[in-house]
Amino acid sequence: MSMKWLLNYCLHTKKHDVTKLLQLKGRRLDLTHYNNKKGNIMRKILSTLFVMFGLISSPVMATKGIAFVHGTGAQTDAYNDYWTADFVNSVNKGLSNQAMHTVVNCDFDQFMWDEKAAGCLATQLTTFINNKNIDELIIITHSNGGNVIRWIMSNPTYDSRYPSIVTSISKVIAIAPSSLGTPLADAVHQGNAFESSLGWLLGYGSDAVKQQQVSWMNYYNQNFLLGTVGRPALPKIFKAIVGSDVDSAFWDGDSYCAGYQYQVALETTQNWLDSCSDGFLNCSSQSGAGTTWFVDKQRTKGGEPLSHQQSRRNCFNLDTIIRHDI
Amino acid sequence: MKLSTLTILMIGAITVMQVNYSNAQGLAPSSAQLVNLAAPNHAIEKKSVHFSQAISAGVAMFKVKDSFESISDEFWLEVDGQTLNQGIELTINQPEALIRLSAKQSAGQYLPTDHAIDPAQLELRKNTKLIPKAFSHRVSQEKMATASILANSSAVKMSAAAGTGQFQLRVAQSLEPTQKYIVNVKEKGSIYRQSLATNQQSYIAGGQVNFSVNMTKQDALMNNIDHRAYIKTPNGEMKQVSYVAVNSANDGNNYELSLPVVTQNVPRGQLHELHVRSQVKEGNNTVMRVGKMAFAVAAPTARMTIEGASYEHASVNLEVASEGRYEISGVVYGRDENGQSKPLMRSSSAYYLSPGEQTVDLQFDKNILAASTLSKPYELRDAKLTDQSRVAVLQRQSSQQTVMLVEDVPQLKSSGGSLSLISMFSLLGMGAMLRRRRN
Repeated sequence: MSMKWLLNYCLHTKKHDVTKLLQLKGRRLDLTHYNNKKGNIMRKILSTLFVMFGLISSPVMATKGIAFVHGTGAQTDAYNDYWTADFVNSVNKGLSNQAMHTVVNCDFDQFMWDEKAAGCLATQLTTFINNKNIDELIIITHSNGGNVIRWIMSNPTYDSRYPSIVTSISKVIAIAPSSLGTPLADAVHQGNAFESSLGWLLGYGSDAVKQQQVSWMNYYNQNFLLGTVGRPALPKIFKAIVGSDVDSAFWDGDSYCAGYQYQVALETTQNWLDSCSDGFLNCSSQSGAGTTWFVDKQRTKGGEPLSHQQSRRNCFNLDTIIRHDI
Repeated sequence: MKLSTLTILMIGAITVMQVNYSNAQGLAPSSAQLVNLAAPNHAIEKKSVHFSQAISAGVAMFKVKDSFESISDEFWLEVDGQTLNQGIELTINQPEALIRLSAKQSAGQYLPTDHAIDPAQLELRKNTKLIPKAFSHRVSQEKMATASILANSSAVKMSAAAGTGQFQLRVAQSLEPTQKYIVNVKEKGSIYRQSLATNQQSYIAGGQVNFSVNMTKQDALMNNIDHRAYIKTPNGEMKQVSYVAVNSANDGNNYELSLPVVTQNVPRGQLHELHVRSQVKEGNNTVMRVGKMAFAVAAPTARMTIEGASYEHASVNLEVASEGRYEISGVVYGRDENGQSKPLMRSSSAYYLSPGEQTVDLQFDKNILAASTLSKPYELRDAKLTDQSRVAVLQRQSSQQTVMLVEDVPQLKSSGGSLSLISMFSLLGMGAMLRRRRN
């Protein structure tokens, strides 16, 4: 039963008036422009009805959808290779219609503005929004995926598709975003680029890693991206989940979530990082743009930390925490 | 990306000096500096796009900041396989330092994983005497690779018992003699630190670049430091650049060096880097640190003059020297109940333009203006011109430069202070347009 039909049926008002009444402002019902002679009485009746239906503070007729945006790397099957079906399907349970989701596959080995990166992301988001009539888009990013969506949100005039994407977004849940870069990217690019220690496996490396060097991200944040300290805010909510530690004790079962071998490597990489890091990114980088939703131990099961590998898996209830926020 | 063959003569000077972390200065190319580059051959939007976003009430004035400081507690060396098999001298100043060894890969060449060094094959000696338990952790290439971070790399962590001082590191495993390796010593928590800083990361080709660099021991400045500077261009070429001492009222440790001539266009959005290798004698040991920072050198493809602004738009004159897509952006400020200037709207407009004189609008959203709790007078600040085709910042007003928004007629005051002929014509044109609207 649609809201428009309900109003017509219950109140026997003219369709024109009801349509006008239903105009949304900031995705909430705006009753202030209803200038019917019986406006005040009608407003009271409607308000009562809306409260009865529990609709007064809810988005009206919004079609909610989720887009999963991966991190660095060229993905062709991010559903299985980057996120895993368990994670995606668990988070999707937060949707009333679980079909309303998409898993993005782009080449994030490129600089964020590249046609294969932000351009590809814009194409896939636009298709998803149009095909599914999405008007409340929740974007879930991991790692460098947060930078690519920030490029779109910060540079809406770069591409004529960007403004409608920005308008459709309700919020970005940025898991471990590399907003301020990482010293590890600097380590990869020590020395001369012609002979640098290239070749992060699984497609890691190249321009995306170059971009995530600390001083490079500082430049991009100050000149092209929004949401960091002293800069204008992003046009939509960008809230970060921060991973704060790596647990690699072999006797601790928690070290094995998402693969023990990853934990060992990430504990080594922590030598380039602050005491608060997820093995790949400093906490300061993860919380460097937008707002911090929570630091892992504040919300995870058992107060366990989330390493950079674990923060895209069903580890320590991360999936259900996100699901309940959808 | 196909590069333009245009030669950008960039003989600037780097001055090593104390950095004042004030708001970034304005950035603006002169008309004489403008260059004609080939049109971008990558996909780029051709439609004009405008976007405004409201800024929440209560947000303080934005500070245009473009500074950066790098703190280094590490150094790295480049050595070949033959040298590693013979052994290299390493000075370690921090207990439990981490040593990473990464095989280097030439661009476009496949590097077999067997070039990685087996950490079990590393030997550490002090005064030619082998240290039996030199390492507390040995991380193999296979383990490092699982983090998808550093391929062809292995690492060892020195044991606390190994201590500090002068060591000889040798690889027992037979290595390809000419294969290059990076030996990275990370001394986390060291009392010796190098600071490399700049108050600006955006430059126009031919501009002057300022940096400060120093070494500290427990936060106290060290003296007699040997700094060696290198510039790495976006295409990966790295050259040592010489520098000379210059007179300064600061601390007497100021230097100036010339940047190399750049003979090609900068790949889209990519940055130059300054690497500084600092070395200082500390007793019998040498302390070494390497730091690096990135900065942008934009080809001056266009410049803007803001002619005036109304509540609907700012009129902007563009001198376009190179075909491409240009964005003008800025923040509109209003006054709060205390008369304080506060931001209320960020607006941007982008156009694909051909070379020549162009007058375009930076469009505002009157609805945001009307809905704001801030009141007039409204001002446009933080105006910026960006070459979106080349992902480069071309021009940025300083924090002090403002343009008043007037309700009906664009204001004469321009950011540059002088009224050009173009401005006059533009103003007359807008006046006529407004008269027509009234009629």
